[in-house]
Amino acid sequence: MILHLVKSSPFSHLSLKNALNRSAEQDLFLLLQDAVVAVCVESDLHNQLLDLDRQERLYVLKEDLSARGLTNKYGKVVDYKGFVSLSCHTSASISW
Amino acid sequence: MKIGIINQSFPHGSAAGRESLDAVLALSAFSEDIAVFFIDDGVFQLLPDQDPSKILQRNYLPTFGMLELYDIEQVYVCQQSCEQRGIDPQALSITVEALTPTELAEHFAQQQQLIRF
Amino acid sequence: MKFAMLVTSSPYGEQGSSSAYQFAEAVIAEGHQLVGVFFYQQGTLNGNGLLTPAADEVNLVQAWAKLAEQHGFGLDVCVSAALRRGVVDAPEAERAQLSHYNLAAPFALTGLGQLAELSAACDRLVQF
Repeated sequence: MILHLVKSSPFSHLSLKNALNRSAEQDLFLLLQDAVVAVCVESDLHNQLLDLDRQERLYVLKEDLSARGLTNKYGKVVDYKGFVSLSCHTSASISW
Repeated sequence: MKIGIINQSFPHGSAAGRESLDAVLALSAFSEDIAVFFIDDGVFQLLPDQDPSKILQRNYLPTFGMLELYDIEQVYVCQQSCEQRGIDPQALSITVEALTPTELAEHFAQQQQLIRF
Repeated sequence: MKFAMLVTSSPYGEQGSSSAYQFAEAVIAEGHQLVGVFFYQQGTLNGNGLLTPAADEVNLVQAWAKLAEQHGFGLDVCVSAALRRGVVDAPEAERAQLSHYNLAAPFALTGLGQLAELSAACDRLVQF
C-alpha cells in the first residue's frame, strides 16, 4: 500500500490527477503544501476525491491548511504526527 | 531492498534526469532490485538524437546504456504517457517495457522505497 | 521504526525543506529513530552556511544543524550535486583552488553511496 504525498495545487499542476491515475485500490493520499486546496475548493477532481474520502483514503495536512487560511470541506485532517503515523502504516511513499 | 526510481521530468530543462541516473547507478552497487520508471514528460529522457550541447547542457543520453551494464533489467515506461506524446516505446534509445497506468500502480506497490525525479 | 529522509528541495523559495524539517521533528517526537537525512539536487543548498535570512525568519540551515546534534543523526550532502551548486567544504575548496568554502557544520559532503547505506538501514524512506 503506497502513501501518495501530493504537494501541488490541482489548479496549476497535474500531479494530483496523475497520481490518482496511477494509484492502486488501497493506496492512501496525503495532501500537503499547496495541494491542500484540492479539498477546500471544487476542482475537476472533486468526484474522484470524494470517492477516496468515502473510502477513508484521503488525508490533508493540518499545518498547511492553517498556514493558508483554508478550511477543508472533506478529507481527514492530520498533523505532522499523523503524517508520520501514515508513513508507518503504508509500505512506501511517493512524493509527487 | 526493492527500490523504484520514477523519472517524471523533461531532459535538459532541469537536471532531474541526469541526477536521477547518477542515483540509480550508485544505488545499483548496493541493491540488486532496482526498477526504473519513465512517466509523463520523463519519457522524453530516452528519445534518440538529442543534442543538448546546443543549450550548454551535457549529453547524458549515452549513460542510459549503462543500465544494462549494471544489470538493471527492470526499465519501464508509461504506455499512456508515450501515446499522449506520440512516442513509440520501441523507438526509444534503450529497451523498455511499456506498462498501463494500472500496471504501473501494481509495480509501484511492490517497491519498498520510491524516489521521484 | 527507522526513518531516513531524502531532501531534494531548496531551503528557501519553496516549502519542501521546511516540510522535511517539520517531518523530522515529528519522527523524533513520536519516538522513532531518524537514521539520517540525505540532501540531493536543490536540497544540497540546505548545507550552505552563508544563507542569511532576516532576523525574524527561520534559519533552516541552523535548525537542521541543531536538530541533528541534539538527536545524533547525520546530515549527508551529495558531493557532486553540492559542488555544482556552489556548496563546498574546506578540502574541496582546496582541491579546486577556491578562496572560500561554505558548508555548515555538521553537514558533511558524501557520495551517493551514503544514500544507498541510509536506504538499506531504514524501514521507511520519505522524500521531500
